[in-house]
Amino acid sequence: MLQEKVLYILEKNRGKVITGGEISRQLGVSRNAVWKAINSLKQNGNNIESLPNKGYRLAVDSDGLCKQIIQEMLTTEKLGSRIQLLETIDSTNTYLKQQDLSNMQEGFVVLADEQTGGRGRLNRFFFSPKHSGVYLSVLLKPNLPPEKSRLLTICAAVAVSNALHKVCGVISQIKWVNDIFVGGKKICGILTEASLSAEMQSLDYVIVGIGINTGEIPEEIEDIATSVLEVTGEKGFRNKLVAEILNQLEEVYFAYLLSGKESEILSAYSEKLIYINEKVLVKMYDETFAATVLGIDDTGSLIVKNDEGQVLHINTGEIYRKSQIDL
Amino acid sequence: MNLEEIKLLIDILKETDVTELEVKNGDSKIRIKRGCHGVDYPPFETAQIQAQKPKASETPKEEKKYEEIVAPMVGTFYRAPSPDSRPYVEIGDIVNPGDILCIIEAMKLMNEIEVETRGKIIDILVANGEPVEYGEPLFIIEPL
Repeated sequence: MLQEKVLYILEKNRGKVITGGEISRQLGVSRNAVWKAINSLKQNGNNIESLPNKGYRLAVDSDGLCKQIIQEMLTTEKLGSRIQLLETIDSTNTYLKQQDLSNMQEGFVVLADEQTGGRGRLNRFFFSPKHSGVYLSVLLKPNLPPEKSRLLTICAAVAVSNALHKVCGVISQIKWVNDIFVGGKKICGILTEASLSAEMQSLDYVIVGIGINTGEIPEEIEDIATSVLEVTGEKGFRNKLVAEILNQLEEVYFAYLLSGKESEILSAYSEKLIYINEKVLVKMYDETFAATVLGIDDTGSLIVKNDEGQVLHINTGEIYRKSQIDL
Repeated sequence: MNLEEIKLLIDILKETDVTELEVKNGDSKIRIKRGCHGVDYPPFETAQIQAQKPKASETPKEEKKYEEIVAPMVGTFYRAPSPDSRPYVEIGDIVNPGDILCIIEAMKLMNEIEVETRGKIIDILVANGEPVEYGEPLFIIEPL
């Protein structure tokens, strides 16, 4: 698609001026076609300046998604080998699940500029407005016993936290199981969904859905949510973040899968865990109780101590700060 | 005829190929029949054919009528994708290969449990939101 190609050239010259004539020569299309493509790109949220008699310049903080740029930054073998970029979709996880996954290779990625029905655990709403986040789903086909698959959620949380640090310099913490927090507010949610055959007791696939806020946070949720922009004051990280998340995820996923170094991932995860020795509310399906967080065990379950002094290993539900509402 | 004597008769029957036995003793009369003929619900053990894999010759075919779907992992059992949606399946529903029976959540990994054979849901053994153990029976299904 011409738009994608034009954006790629602008991305390669990010912050610099390039003439319309140069772009049309490189792509072998008319200047009029370039002009049209640039207008569409602007409408899609790319910050492109048109400088009369000089040319075009993609602003340093422009945050448009560009598939080719992402793929160039990948160091992965599998993850992101195929990326589908969508302008808008209800939910990248839902979209991916609707595809014929048996014929799809591991590492396929669906990336969207906007989610109209972004969802978290038990279909709860996830705020995912246009141009303001990284919304992606990765298809994995791990050769793992179902019992071990839950550690993939832990892998994803570690990968996102590492990527935020590497790309944006943001230090984050993980709220068990897989919410990423900065300064006590949520910056990223992860939803991992798997399909298992009832008879074979084996995993068909796992979809890791990741949603990171990168743009403005509306007032209604500013007490509980934050974004890359809020924390760093900067924009323009989206492509790099997508690539780095995939790079990091491939590393922890395969390091964990192939070499069975579960303890290393668990200890990296432990170091990022929020609310250690703090009082939280543990919310299970139909009960809520107060407890103190002690840490995680070697299966990734959360160890808490309730008010009666009992030590419990939790493998379901969620934890909250007493004052917190779920995002 | 007392209980002990009846038990003895059943034991004798078990050791032979005889499937039906009628004994008259004075006023009392007892008829014992082996197998599942005419029984509405299978004895519990017969449902575990998946795990046990008994030799075909040991179990009459009719006893294989029901299958058990067990939990592939420890977690929380959900019958619906969200608290306010309809359950994936109800008792009496016919399920087809690829249909989702339930979700088991383990540490925020939502595992959709899919069925691979066509069948009818005979029973649902766990309530929504309950914790389940590895190998715990969840559904009884009659393959069709």
